[in-house]
Amino acid sequence: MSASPWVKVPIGPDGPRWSTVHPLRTALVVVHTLTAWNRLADILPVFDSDHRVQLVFTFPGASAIDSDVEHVLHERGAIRIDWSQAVDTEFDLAISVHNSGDLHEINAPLITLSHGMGYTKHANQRISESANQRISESANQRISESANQRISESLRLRLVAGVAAPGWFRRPDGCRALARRTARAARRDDPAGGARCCRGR
Amino acid sequence: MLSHDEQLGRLAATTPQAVPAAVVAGDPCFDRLRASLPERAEYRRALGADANSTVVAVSSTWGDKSLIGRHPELIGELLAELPDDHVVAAVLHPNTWYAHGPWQLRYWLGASLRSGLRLIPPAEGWQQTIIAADVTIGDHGAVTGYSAALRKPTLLASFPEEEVAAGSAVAAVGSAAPRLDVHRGLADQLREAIRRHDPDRFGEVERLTSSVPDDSAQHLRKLCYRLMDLPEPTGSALVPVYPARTLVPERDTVRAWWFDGDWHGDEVRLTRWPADVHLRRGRKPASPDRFLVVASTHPQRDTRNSAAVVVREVDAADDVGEVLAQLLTSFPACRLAAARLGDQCWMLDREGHQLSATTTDAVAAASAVHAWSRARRDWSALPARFDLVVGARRSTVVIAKRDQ
Repeated sequence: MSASPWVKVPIGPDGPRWSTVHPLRTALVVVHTLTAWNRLADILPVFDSDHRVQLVFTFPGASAIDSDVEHVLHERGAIRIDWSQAVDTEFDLAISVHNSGDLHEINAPLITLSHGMGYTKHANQRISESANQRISESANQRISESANQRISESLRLRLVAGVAAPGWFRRPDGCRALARRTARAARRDDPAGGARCCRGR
Repeated sequence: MLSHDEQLGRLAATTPQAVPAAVVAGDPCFDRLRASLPERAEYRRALGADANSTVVAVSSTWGDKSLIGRHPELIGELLAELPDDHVVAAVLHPNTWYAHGPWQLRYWLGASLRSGLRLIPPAEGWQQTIIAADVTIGDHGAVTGYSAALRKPTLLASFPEEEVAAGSAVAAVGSAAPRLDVHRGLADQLREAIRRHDPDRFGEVERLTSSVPDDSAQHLRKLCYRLMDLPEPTGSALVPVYPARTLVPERDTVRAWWFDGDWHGDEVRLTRWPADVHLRRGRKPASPDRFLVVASTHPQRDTRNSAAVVVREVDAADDVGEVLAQLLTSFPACRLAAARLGDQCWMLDREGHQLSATTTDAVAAASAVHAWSRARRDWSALPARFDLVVGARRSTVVIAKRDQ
């Protein structure tokens, strides 16, 4: 699986120059697996025919089984961005139907949904078992303490069972949300604005 | 986003700090399934089934407690036991496809595919398949759950209760759905499940699938646009019907069949089973007198060499008499050789009887003629026009010319 190149259009500082349509909002769709893609087909029609919204897709590479989903995205003509670009860019909305991976690094209000029939399996038990196993494997292999910390962070995130919302999202009056609103207001005066690159690339 | 209030209760019990972020907005997949129910006949056609077929969906989630994990031979055993007026369609979780690789999965299912299995590709088509089905055999996965939520006959071949969250829709499937006993006759259990099905059995599953049935897209769109700080588009949100054209099952050519049947006047009634799969060890065939029919291109020598009837496709340029004589020479157990070109069929038996006929089902027509001879009936009394009934399908065979 090859990494997608850094995409310059429609997101990023050069995006508006090369755009034909200038959407007002950009949403990130996180596609972990083929199962996710199948479920997203039930969700994304809410954006049907709305020229104000551009969707871009990313594959976080967080699943143990590679279901060739990047290939499927490519075939369907979806704009794909690398996960590193996805987390380096601010979006107006992000949607994911899996809880795995570093979703907390996304810079956008995040909606997570089930990719099955609601939430029906005992994720906690399985995750803590596998996480314990992973932690003890890490210890055996003398992997650094920071790796353990990452495991426990990702464990904590996943235990939120489908609402892996970052803290600032749960506190809409927090400073991050304020900054977003300000940025959004500024963007309204600049119709060429799309999602911006927030780490200077 | 949660599909049902019930999940809000569980979230509050385990992770109360997440509750303020939770929104209950129904199940967009379930809504599309419900909107797609009127398309059932289209989906059945896409599977190669008609109104008289019984469509059996086999649905397996992934892992060693899934249906396929527990019963890797079940698909083959079903195909072996069910006459071919049944259409068996397998829906396997993409994790199963991609943990082993699609190539490998198709190889593992080789005999089943050569026995008529419709393998639903991992990307799309499962929703149409469970709507098309007369009965679904499944496990604790969502595909099985949706089948029950649609109140359709649904049987469980595996259900690891310890993996299922109490109070969830899938837990309700576990409480309500009958179990399939793989040690007993499968055909009887399926027939019973369809005949005695009470849709209300799955009322609780349906209720737990969505708190806002048919309205998920509206709730979801409202949430998305609120978070994007953008007014919603005018008009209601789309709930697209699943298209029949995206139901494209993988299939292989069936080249070996068991046949049995009897003549009744000008009508012959046959039952046909695929012969590349095997009944569960210890189970006896429904008919001990059945005979084997193969296409001349069947890949297994033992099967080719034990067939009573061999059918070969021919070209207009072929010398049919020579082809038929060659088949009788090449296939030691062959009693009747048949050659097919479009709806024309020529036959030659070991006693030298010949005929040509018009039929839409050359394999069954040749089997009917073999059944006639096998019953030691007089060749000259073979009806010049007869009704060929295979399972629930009826067609007419017209004998154009015969020698002797």
